[in-house]
Amino acid sequence: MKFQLIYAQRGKTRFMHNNQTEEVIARASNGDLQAFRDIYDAYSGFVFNVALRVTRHREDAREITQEVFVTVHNKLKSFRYQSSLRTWMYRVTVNASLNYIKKHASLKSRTVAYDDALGSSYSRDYMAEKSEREHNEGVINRLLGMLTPEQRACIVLRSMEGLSYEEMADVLAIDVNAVRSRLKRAREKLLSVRKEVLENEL
Amino acid sequence: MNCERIREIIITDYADGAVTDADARLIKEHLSSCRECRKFEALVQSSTVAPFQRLEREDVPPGIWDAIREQLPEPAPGRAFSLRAAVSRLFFVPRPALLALSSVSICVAAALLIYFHFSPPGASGGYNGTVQDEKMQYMAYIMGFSDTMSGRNQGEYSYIEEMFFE
Ligand SMILES: [Zn+2]
Repeated sequence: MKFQLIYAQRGKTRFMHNNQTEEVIARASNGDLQAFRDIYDAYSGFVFNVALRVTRHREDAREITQEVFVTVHNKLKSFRYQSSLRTWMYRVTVNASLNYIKKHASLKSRTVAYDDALGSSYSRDYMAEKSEREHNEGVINRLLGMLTPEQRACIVLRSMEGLSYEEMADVLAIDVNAVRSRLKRAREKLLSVRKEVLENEL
Repeated sequence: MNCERIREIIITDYADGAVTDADARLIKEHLSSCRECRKFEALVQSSTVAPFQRLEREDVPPGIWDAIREQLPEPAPGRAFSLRAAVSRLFFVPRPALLALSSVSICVAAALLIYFHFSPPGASGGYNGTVQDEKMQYMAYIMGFSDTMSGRNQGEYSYIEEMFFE
């Protein structure tokens, strides 16, 4: 069985031996809380960050992270190792994030408030004091805000999470050419709005 | 390849380092001679790839694990284990309550002892001595059971638990 558990915590990537991973999954699916905690420690970083960038809201990301792990826990018994746990977790996370946005689409005012908090409402003086990292953060959030949730997911999976086109096809359940054209459209959109976003940020 | 086709590759596979060596050579050759495509390539990198790659992951906020654990169903692993856990939970009594319960049961037992001991042989219908002894043993068992609940070592099963295992 081709399968590997990847620990991705702040740049560190560690591979677990295949049999070890299967053992952890088997134990977790049998109610071993420590084994499930190991899975949480290995994957909560990317689950939270993908949800955060797709929804652009910390509280949403927190709720989605909880939902993802409860879902995964309850479905672990039926996990059949056709794909890696990592791919499966990405898929559950992206789906949960997109569904969350659809469900809460009516609460548009909240998104606007978030935009303001991280974007144009800062005064010029404050902007000058902001670190480069914070500045980059603000630009990113505004750029992502210009995309559809599906396009955001593509950009996040590719450029932040570093997934290959093939992995993205698995996660998004579309073919590689569809991945390519979604990325293309997302990046063209980013190019067309970048001037506006940068002017707002500076 | 014309500029349009070149840019299609630049904004996808080339930007993601997913082109074959041969395609990469072709594109680099084109870029060295086409100023517009060169500008386009730089823009794709600086505006659609690099900012996202630079972005650091945020730490997972505390408290999420606890919230998840609260939503998980009770563990239901091997049969023996779950039954034992279920039985223990069923008979779990907090310590102060246990003290109160013990004293009450001692009083009840004493009262029963006095009642059975002093009641005339015929008064309790068909009961003979043996049945009364069994009753007494059972009473003692119930009380003994509640005692073992408090200070029981792992591996020792109580009467009720054994009923489930055999
Ligand atoms: Zn050209």
